[in-house]
Amino acid sequence: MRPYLAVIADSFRSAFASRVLWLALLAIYLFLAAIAPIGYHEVFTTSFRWPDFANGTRMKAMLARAIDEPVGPDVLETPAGRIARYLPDELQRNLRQVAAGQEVRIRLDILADGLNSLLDSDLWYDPTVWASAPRLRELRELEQLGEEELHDDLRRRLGRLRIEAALPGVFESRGSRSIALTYAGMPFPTIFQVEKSQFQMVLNHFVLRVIIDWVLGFIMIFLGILVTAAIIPDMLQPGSLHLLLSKPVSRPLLFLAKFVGGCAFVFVCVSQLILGLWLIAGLRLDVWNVRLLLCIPVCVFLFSVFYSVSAVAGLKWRSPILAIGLANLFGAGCLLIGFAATLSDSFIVERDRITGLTTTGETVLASTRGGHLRRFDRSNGRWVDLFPDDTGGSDRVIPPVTLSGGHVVTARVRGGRINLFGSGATPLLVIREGVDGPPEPSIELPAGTRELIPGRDGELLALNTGELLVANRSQWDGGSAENSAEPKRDEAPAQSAGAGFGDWLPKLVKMMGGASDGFQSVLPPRTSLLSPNSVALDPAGDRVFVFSGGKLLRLDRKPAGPDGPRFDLTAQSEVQTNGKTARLRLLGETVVIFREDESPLFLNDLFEPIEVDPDVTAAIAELSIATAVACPGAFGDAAVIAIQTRNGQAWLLGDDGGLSLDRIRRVSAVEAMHWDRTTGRLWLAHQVDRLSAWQLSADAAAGSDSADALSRLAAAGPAVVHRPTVSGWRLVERYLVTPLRTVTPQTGELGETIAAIVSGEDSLQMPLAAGDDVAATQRYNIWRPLLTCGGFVAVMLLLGSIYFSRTDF
Amino acid sequence: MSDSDAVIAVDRLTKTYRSGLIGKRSVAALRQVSLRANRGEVFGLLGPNGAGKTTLIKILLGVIRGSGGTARLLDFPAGSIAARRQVGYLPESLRIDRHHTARTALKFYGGMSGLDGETIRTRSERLLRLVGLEGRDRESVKRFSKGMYQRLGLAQALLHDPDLLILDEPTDGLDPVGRSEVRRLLLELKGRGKTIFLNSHILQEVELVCDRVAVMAAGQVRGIGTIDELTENLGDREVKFDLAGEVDQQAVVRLLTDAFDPASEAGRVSVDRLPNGILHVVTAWRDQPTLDRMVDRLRERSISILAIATPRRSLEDVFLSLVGSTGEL
Repeated sequence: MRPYLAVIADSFRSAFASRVLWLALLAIYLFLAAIAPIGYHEVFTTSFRWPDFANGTRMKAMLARAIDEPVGPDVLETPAGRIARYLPDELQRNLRQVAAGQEVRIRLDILADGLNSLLDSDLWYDPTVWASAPRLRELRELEQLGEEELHDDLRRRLGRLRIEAALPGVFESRGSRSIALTYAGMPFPTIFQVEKSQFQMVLNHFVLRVIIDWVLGFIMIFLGILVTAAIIPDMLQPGSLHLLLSKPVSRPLLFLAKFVGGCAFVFVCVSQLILGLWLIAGLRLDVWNVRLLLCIPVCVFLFSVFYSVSAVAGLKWRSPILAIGLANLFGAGCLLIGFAATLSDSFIVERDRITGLTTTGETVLASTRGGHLRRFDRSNGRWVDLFPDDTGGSDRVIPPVTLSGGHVVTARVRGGRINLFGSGATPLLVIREGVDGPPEPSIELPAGTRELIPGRDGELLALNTGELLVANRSQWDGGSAENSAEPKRDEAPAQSAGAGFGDWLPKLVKMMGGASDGFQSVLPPRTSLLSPNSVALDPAGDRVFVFSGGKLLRLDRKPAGPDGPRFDLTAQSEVQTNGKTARLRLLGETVVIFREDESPLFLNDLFEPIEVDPDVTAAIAELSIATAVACPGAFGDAAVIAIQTRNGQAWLLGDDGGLSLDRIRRVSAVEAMHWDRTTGRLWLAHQVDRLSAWQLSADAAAGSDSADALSRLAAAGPAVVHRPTVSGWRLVERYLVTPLRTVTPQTGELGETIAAIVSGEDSLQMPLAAGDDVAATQRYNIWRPLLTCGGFVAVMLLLGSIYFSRTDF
Repeated sequence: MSDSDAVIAVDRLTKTYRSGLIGKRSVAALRQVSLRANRGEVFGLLGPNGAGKTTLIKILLGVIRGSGGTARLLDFPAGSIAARRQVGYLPESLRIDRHHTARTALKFYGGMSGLDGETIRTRSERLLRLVGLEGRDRESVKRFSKGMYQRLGLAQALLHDPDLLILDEPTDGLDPVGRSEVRRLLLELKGRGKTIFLNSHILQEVELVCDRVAVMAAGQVRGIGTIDELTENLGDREVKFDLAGEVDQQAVVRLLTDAFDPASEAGRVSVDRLPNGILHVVTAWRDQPTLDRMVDRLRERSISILAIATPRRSLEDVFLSLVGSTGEL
């Protein structure tokens, strides 16, 4: 081994003797010196910014509706009205125009500025008006502080919380503290406030990745190739090679040692830069991310891909210039194929990727990320579109659900992939059981609906950013086209103020996402959903459990009123939340709250904690959960929740007196799940648009307890498998692009590996694609680039070794 | 000599270089070459450019493979790692990476020979002194002259104390003092039982240090043996007389021709009058009695003999004789 270590050590000596290395190091140190003064300090989150608005339309509608509300001795002002009347005059004028039904577009940043103008004083605040407003714990605590304890920032924070309380369902969940970046102790010219967790996410997912991708993945590799391209041709010079070959060394190992040594240059540079970044991130930004150091080998590995080409070319032609040229050509080829593969992903595969799944009878229906609603044609083994794709994929289809009675409902939100609210009205679409025709439009859905939940007796619940609404069957199943709200392209965008023909009040309510067109609120009066939120119904449909911004509500059905179903608030509680996504599901009688980056909570129906196996909760906390589906009736008395993780795994959480968690092994790249209680099957869409179903039923588990049966089922294969025939373009993707991508090292994708390493997560949740949890998740390709690049390097080195061994020099 | 004494044993070794897409064009670099270099001897390899010397050395070192025949070093197949472990090699145009100093270069090549750091350090000190690079050992080789490169090359070849040294033009670029030092070093190494396989253009140097020599031309060994054997095998030696006075040239020719043994063929006698009046006579050397008779006859006629010389044939003569007068060294 000593001779080869000598070669590698000599390469380091050679690298350190290179002027280019010192120039590169100088550039690195200058870069690090330039970013080292970046620092931060934590401040209270006070000012509003336009991204803070989860539902700008609702806010405009609330303010517009309240600005001229009647006020008198007997009529109490509302907090929203109070705020609206203290906004800048211009904004008030615009809001009045909105209220009057005029077409007025109000930019969110102007609204944010308007609200910010209120924070400097509290003239607009009246405790009596706010008395009935839902107040978060932080607000209550701040209000208990004495005047002398409230410094300016706290006052502004208090003002913000009061505004948030006045306009429920409008704001994104934000932490109380934000990060304000500074440079050399000076605040950044523009206010840049993010929460610490967001800051770390941005830093880990984007900033460091960009630096590593560009500085290391591009500049350093190009520089590295320039410097190292001569190593192999130099070795082949007769006076050098003959002497090396006269030593007791094996030729292949000598070549490999030279290759490894050639990576020394890049290793030295990369390690300096990444160590520097790590220290700066730790010392200046308190982000001590040890995983960042793992980028050193990954970057050297990335370089080795290009260097393997350069080395073999140098071996064959003994020309550094040719080696550099070929390595660059190869890089361009990789880029081109990677680009083609990305296009293929975006325009071919992604459009077919299933986002929602349901069944009715023997029919399977799915929504796709490309805005399709599809039925699986078993006889021909292919997906059939239920409406034509004429929007270029900008529509969003709300995942279909099956209501009691077998009817499937869904909706197509025009432009919903760009804007959660879409453009124009969104009619509910009904697909009647056994009818193969196109879906029938029904009543208009509340604005911003992102999830449909089946209730009992054909009831339908619609969840949007601020409301949970319900319509009973008679309301949505009027069945007449006259009642339908066929979307019209030229209708005013919901995001701008609506048109008014004397019906401005219902219009404003509709803009707010409130009760309209047969839907009425399930939530108690003056209650709006806060972010994050999640809703679950018990299997009988008599109880609704709501998680809303840390609050838990239990709503029990009471006798239906003339307008439809009614629910009473029967229990409520609060839980700690980190502001990140949370999902509430029922595991039998147990309320489970899956919280991102935290352990799940197991509560009884009065929201009292239940003691459960800590190993299972720890295992669940490890999962990055994309969605979860309760499977009532799967195993008789036992309860089951199917969990889909962001990295495409499927798990079964069972409760049979004790908790069990098992991974469904025979499936990967899971896209969507559906529990079909009628047949006892858990359907999984996976590998873009394939379907498999597992039979979860007491029959399948005969003779054993449920936990064992669940484990066995998780390990077993599916009972039903459908591999749909794919379109011509998918065939091109499958048989041309994918093989090409497989044999070509996907160097570009190594950026995803780096992002995964740095963030410690195998997927990225895209906050912009709200309302579509699964679609919002970008799974990192961690292993594919490592495998393709590793395979390529191995093949190149093998070829180089064979050539070097067999050639007479 | 027994086979076990053969440090280099080459038997009917051939090497054909092929080129072209399907190897249509071929050049025979070695043709049935056989030679042996024995333990403890200095073996010289001579030949004009293109004779196949470098090809032979490359095969011995395993840089290239032979097309036929066998080559063994120290009883191991030539080119095997075991054989190379015991070989020290100094290439003709040594190239050492410019980032090295003499000391780091020795560290590198010592490491490549499998030596540990301590051994390299100890031996480097001695060898740097031996080759005259002491005091310049921390200088970058960028500043080294050709001679200093050669000295460093010699040091690295000796670093792992090999049994066999293959030296390709070891004195190339050295000044006369340096050459003399190298010759002394080679003889010292020979004294320590090392085998030296020397490829050199400097025939005089080969003549001075080599025990045996092989002369190659056109891929073949044209002659092999000790220098005496080679010169003796070359054929007639000459006898040269310088005669004084007004001597009849025809009479001298007759006298000397008659001196040859009547039983054998008479040697040709050539006579040349030098500008200073001295008669320069050259005739073939037969044996001492013939020479005695020549002297007697000349003296009987009172011809003064200014000088008699019976010069031995040089290696150059041998070389030119074996490869032809046009052969380049």
